Amino acid sequence: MRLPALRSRLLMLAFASMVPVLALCLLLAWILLERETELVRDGAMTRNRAVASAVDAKLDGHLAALRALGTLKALEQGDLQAFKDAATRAQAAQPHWRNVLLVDESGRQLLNLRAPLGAALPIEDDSELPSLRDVLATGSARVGNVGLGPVSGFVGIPIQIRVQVAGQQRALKLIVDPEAFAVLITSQELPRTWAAAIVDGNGKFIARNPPRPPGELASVGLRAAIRETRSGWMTIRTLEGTDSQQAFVGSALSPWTVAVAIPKEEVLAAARRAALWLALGALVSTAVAGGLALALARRVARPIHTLAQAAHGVGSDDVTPLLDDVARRPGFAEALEVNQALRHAVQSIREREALQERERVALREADQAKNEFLAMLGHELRNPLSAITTSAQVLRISKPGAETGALAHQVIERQARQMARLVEDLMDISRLATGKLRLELELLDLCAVVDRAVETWRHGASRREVRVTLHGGPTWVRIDRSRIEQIVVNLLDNAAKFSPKGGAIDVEVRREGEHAVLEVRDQGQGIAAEDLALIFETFYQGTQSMHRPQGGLGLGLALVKRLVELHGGRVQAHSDGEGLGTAMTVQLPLAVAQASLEQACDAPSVAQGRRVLVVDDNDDGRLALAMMLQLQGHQVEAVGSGMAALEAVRRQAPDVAIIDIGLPDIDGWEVARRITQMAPLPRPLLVAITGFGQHEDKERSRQAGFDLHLTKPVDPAALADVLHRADFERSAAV
Amino acid sequence: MGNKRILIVEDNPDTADSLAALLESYGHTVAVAYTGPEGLAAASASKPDIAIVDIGLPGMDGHELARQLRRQLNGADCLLIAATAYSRQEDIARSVESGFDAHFVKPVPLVRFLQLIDDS
Repeated sequence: MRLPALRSRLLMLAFASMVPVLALCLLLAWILLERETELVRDGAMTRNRAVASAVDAKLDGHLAALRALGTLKALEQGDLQAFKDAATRAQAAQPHWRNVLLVDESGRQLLNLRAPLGAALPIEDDSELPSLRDVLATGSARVGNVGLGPVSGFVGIPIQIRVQVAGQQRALKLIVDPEAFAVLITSQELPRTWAAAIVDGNGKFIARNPPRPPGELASVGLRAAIRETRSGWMTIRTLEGTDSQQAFVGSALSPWTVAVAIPKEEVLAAARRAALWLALGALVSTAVAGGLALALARRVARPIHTLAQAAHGVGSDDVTPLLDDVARRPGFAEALEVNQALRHAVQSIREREALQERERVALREADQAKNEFLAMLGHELRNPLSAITTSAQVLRISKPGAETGALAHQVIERQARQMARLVEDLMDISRLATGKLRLELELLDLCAVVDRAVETWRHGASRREVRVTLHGGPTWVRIDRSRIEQIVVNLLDNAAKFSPKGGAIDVEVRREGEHAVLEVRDQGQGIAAEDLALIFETFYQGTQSMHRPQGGLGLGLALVKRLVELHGGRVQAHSDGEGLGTAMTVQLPLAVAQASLEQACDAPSVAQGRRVLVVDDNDDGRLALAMMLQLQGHQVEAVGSGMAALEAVRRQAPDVAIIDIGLPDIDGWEVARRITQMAPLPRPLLVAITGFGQHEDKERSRQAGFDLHLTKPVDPAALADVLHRADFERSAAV
Repeated sequence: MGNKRILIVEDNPDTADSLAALLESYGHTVAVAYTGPEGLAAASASKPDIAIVDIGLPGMDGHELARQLRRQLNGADCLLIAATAYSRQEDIARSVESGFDAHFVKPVPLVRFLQLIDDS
């Protein structure tokens, strides 16, 4: 089913709300019409009543004059001549008096002003007889209807009263010209379209406007009405043929009726006008309501349409202009809400896409890096492989014992070692990348460690003819010995590669503020400034590193960087430019209390023997260690158990106690704990020796009170170093 | 057994020296240089028939060295052989561009290598 559009809904709403208004308008129009008609009717009736009163007043005047005539002596005495004279005089004074008659009870005229006395006079029409008799019987005056005078032939209105003529009852009858009443109608100055009339009891006009001859019959409607009732309001058709509303009122003194006819058109005109205005108002209201509904529909539909468009486009197009457009002209609050929601949606889609893009890029880069790495690995393995295959060939063809054979032999060994190291470095890089490489930190003299590394390198890895010199003094740091050696070897490899034949490489260990610094300087070709930052990157440099003229994996330097960072330090390369040599600087955090150590370092070195206690339950181990220490000039006591050790400490107060952890009675940690609790003897420097170099073991040793933790087999040089510095070592460690 | 004057320019001494020993044992006269500039100097001194040049050299890479050698030898008949760990197609193309006559990827296939030297 197709849903109606918002516009039609709103239009329906607007028109539905207009229905009661329209009904009310209709009702109002109806009421107005009624009211208007009523007003017109009342006006007409009032007017008619006034006219009727005026008619009565006029009749009254004639009646009074007639009565005055009727009381004349001459009439009473039957002197008709005298009466006629008097009546003639009276008639002369009354412009509308047509005639005066004296009639006996049989209707015979006795006197007629228009005929000479004694002349034969007509008898009244039979129709006149009832009223004549009534007048004679009751003595009350009587106003009659329009009739033709038999003598005069004029149209007149009879007014009769009873008089006494020579003792006989007669009727004195005045004929009045209807014209006398015409003025009452004409003087009203009614609208020309209206018709006003005075009608007698027979329904004949006495006076009318527009004029009609007196005596003419009034309209059928009016005649029917006055037969029914004395006053009223009705619909008729006038003699002119106009459909009209007629108001009529009866006269009090006569059987007459005063009527006014107002064309229906005019009666309804005012009401029609009012109704028209109402209709117009209703129409305008409806139109306005409809218009508003359409405007509102547009106002609502426009943003909704735009939002719908935007929603369609979310994720594929840039819908911001659409949303901005809605934000500028939202039309209504909810549109803004939807707008806001869409914006959020767009935002989160964008973020998600950006994230996906980043992930894609990262994946691609990682994949590319892996490929580059494999390519470089192949490249890097080719070099030693080349030397090895060539040497193998040399070995095959050289005579036994020849110098070339010995050389080839050495080359094969060296290059195989080189390859092994390469693979080792590679594994380390992998361990570093996965976070599996852990440092075994010890408090060591960096200078000593570097010294040993330089020796190792000098004798092994390379046969390049360079001179390596080590400078610097004891610098105590917490480091992983083997990793620092790895760092040094790699740095030396690198320096040697860039050094000319017989070039000098300077290795220096020094303090700089809070750092121990290891620097390897060569006098080789140097590094261009733009490459300085890149040389520590593994294979992320892509093809660029492939074409570094020096070749090489760069793996060594990358490994150096990661290992140094793992120690909490950093490495930098510095070169004043190509041809000016390179300095690689490794910064490592100094061990605490370096200051006191340094002080001791500066003091003249004394080869004086120390009192050393060796605690080990293994007889061979204990003896060997004791012998070695004695040979180095120390005073040594060796015991095989924890309790014996405690006893020896109490008795001798040695400078150094070297304690194996795995003892038969109480373990080495317990021994250390008890020694540290012995007051107030100056306690010896406590050195733990175990077969395990796990981090947890060392931590446990530290907690037990050991100053140092050495792993079996104990390096004699390291041990000698410890004993050499026993005094300040203790102060540094505690 | 040949008797060619051969110059080896190779920064890895073990590679350079073992190759020199091998070639000498085949009767050639071999000079060894460990850097690009050394190679250039040795070439002008020994006027080699054959120069075996590594590409990744300190001081001056093999391509540059080849170009300079070509210029320096001025058309003199010298077989330029690139011996490098760079093994990709574009590396070989680049060698040819630089003026090398042959490009060997390490480890050098010795039989073919020696054959080429003997045939030159």
